[in-house]
Amino acid sequence: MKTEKLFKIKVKVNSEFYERAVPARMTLLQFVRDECNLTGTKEGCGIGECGTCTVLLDGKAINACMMFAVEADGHKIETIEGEQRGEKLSDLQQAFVDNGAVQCGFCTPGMIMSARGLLKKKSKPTDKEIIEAISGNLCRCTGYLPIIEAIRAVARK
Amino acid sequence: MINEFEYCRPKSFNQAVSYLAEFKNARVLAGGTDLIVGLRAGLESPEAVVDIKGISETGSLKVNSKGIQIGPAVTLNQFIETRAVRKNYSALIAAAESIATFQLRNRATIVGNICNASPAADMAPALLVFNAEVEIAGPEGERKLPLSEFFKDVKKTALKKGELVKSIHVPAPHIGTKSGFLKQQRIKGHDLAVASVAAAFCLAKNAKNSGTLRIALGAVAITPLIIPEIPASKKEIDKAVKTAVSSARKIIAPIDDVRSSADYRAEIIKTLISRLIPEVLS
Repeated sequence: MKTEKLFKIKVKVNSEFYERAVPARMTLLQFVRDECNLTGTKEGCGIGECGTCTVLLDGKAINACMMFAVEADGHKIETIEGEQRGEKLSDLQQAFVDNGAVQCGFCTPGMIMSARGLLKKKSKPTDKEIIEAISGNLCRCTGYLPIIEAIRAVARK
Repeated sequence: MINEFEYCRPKSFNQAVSYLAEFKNARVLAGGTDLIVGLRAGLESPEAVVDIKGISETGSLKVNSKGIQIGPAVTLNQFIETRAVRKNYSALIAAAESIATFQLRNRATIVGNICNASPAADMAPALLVFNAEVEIAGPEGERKLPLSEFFKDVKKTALKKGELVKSIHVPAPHIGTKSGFLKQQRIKGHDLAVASVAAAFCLAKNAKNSGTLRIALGAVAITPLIIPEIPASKKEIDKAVKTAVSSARKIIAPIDDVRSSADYRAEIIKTLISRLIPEVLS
């Protein structure tokens, strides 16, 4: 059997560069989880519906399941692991804790990355913009209100 | 699991065309938000995937007095956030904003929405009312096609083997043109259109009230549809609605599916038309 062709890629994930040889069919989500061992980013639906795999690509929120790792060559990815500074939670992480925005926690990494993407673009978003930014992130526990409140709290700071 | 495929990243349209011609079954990759879903579901298993984002012109979005030129890697959010587009092309903006979720719009492209050729493609009706043209590159050189001749069947376009869309050109509307887009869906962000309608009203030269009305429909036939131009006046809104509804009835052929029954589609399209026309004629 023919061995699968591999493509050399170099991707900056959070503060580190990862150089790997990957098959073209590997998604960015598989790359982040299995090659970089950054398992904070979750797989929910795998078809771009649930948003729990949300990461930032050059500062913009995207679904990591809807992109191939080879497409990320030369780009910068940010994941939930890049939020924390040592022992200290990021402003968004702390606000999610403070506002009861985490229940089962499965949507949280994606939710925080969507919020981060929004705050990078606009530090004082309106409620409408907050809701739009997390429109692609499903949460089955909280009813969304504590999540919106948490993002609002950071925006108000 | 996605099957193995060859990955090609051409640097020019010519190179892209030769990859597309060379492989038996090659697919273009731009945003990937339709392609990857299809690959994961095993609905398709191409021999090669041709990623066109390495071609520098693909990301170009030009807006000037002649109109808009949209490259095949221009994302929905890139388009939505372009101020110059927001001013004169309301229907295009409304359609783009109605598609999928924020994250998906950071990847999904305008041209991809058209090339996927879903009967429910939201950009299609909006581009049709602006008389958009598709510029195609292929093994036999380049050609242009009105968008109205681009859709052939469900998920089938006029693109031949080896061809790909180089750009979509939207001619600048006449001054005073007013356009809009309405879509019926079950929930926002996670659903395709049950039915959609776009309309553009263009005043006749030196006229205050009369002009022509262009209306296009989505998700009510195997392809997006355009209704033949209707002469209309701001003073006779009811008449315009009546004419449009009766023209629509003649050409729609809705189906039953998970999102809606055919009967409901036939009914809701009338409602959407009657809501949108007063908006663009006001």
